[in-house]
Amino acid sequence: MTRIMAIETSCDETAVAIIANGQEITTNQVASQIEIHARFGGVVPEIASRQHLLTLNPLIRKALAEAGLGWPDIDALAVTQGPGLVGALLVGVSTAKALAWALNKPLLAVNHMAGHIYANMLGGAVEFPLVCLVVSGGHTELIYMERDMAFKTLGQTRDDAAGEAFDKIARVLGLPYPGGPVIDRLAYQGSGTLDFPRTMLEAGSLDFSFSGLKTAVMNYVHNCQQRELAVNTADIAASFQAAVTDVLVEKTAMAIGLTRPATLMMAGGVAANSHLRRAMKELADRQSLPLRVPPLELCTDNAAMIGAAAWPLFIAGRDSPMSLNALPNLPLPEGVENCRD
Amino acid sequence: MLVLAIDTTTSVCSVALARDDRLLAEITTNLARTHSQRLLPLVENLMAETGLKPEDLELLAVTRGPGSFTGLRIGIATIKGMGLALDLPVVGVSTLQVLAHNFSAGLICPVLNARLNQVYTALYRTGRSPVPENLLPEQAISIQGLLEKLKGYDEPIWFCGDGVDLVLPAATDKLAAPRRAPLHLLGNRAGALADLAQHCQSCSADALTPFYLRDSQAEIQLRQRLEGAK
Ligand SMILES: [Zn+2]
Repeated sequence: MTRIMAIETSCDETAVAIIANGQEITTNQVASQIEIHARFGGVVPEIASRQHLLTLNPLIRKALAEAGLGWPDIDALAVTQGPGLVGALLVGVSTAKALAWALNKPLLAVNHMAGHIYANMLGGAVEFPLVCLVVSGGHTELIYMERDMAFKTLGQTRDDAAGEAFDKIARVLGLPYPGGPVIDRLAYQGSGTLDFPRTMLEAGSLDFSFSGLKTAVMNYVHNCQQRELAVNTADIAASFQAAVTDVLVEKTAMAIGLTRPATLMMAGGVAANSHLRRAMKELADRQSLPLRVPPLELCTDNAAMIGAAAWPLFIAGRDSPMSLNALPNLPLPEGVENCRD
Repeated sequence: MLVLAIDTTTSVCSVALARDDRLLAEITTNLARTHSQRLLPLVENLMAETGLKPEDLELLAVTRGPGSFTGLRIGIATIKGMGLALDLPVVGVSTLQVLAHNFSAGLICPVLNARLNQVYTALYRTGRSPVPENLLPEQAISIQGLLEKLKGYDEPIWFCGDGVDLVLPAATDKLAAPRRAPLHLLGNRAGALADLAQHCQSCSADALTPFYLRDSQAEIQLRQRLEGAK
């Protein structure tokens, strides 16, 4: 049994997990800061960093205690190196380095987006090649993977990320932060009949753009307000969400047509959206593809996914040196990164 | 007692190993590259030079601020992680007191550039006890405000820290005998921290907290907005 302790502090969740043999969650601890940031209407990087520093040690202790394990039971330390908020990342990176140094165990540096994708590997082995739609507050990407830890970006957003659009529209509608779950719930009470644009960009492009949709929704709301008409937030939520979902599913279908994968996956915080999950399931069924989507608690930021993505690094012996730094714009390793087969 | 001391609160990155009253090794750098990349390799160097291992350590010390928010978090997160892994007590000491402890006698005024036209500062008397005595509490203050508070002293005051050149030109007119610390006493030294730590109260790694001395910009702005709304 090989156990990796993983630490994730890239944004506003402090998280610690212990993963056995790359797939089995021994413990998965998440301390959310959502309430702390809510009064600012979004994540404040300096406050997130301060909170991580106070929360991390007790959370590590809690993870060990709940797993009934001690340091000798841990074989390696994994940590999110980026992308994310640099100050927040540095708390996790500094802590993981100190632990790895003091315990003389390997240090594994994990890409946060690889983590989101690898949350799906906690559900058992998957068949490659695969296409993964990654949708979160900071990312909207279509990723192609021919094998373990080889990521090819097929398309990405040119402006707002899908999750960012959810948050901005929620703010315009006067809904609380974070906007995603609120819009998801509200949409069930409305009808998606408002005609908001579905931006497809030039023919054949797998890129995304949500700024036109965002502007259209904002204009619609301002228009209603100017003419003193009641703003039906439920209808707007349903119509906005339908537009986002249509684009995401359509582009994913194009990616499938282009690459003929064996597996379809979805990952990231917005993958928790119930309408999007249903639409992706329908797409997978139409294409006769198995669909992997993480359970809800593994869609949002967590450390179990970091432990899962650290596993191939551990197997390949790709340890990081003690000079490891946090990288706020760390890209996914594109193309061929050979792991030991 | 074997102490590992680290300081990353300013542009200096300093690490030291001390056993009781002997400083075994100290490395102090004041270079551009990030402390995050440099700190642990410097500690690895100390251990390699002294032939010691992490499990030989008995006490961990860190400067807990004030200073660069990011810098002090790198140091504190590192010491907290080591303390957690090795189950060791930790000591957090004020950056300003560590600076004052570079001196063995006289009035010492450490000044750090706090930006926003302020300095983090305090006033200490050294030489009367093992630990610098605090005469003026640690605070973020304008240079003119600080000089007003120092005006009454007619003995020499030694200035050190990365804010000395902000204060000294104005101090020459206002104070009886302002002095600039010599190069080797100007910045933070982990050796001074290692000595000081042995005279200070220790706590558990989890209980160690940073000393920012200033709220985040977001909190300051929110408070101003709420006060404006009243
Ligand atoms: Zn994320």
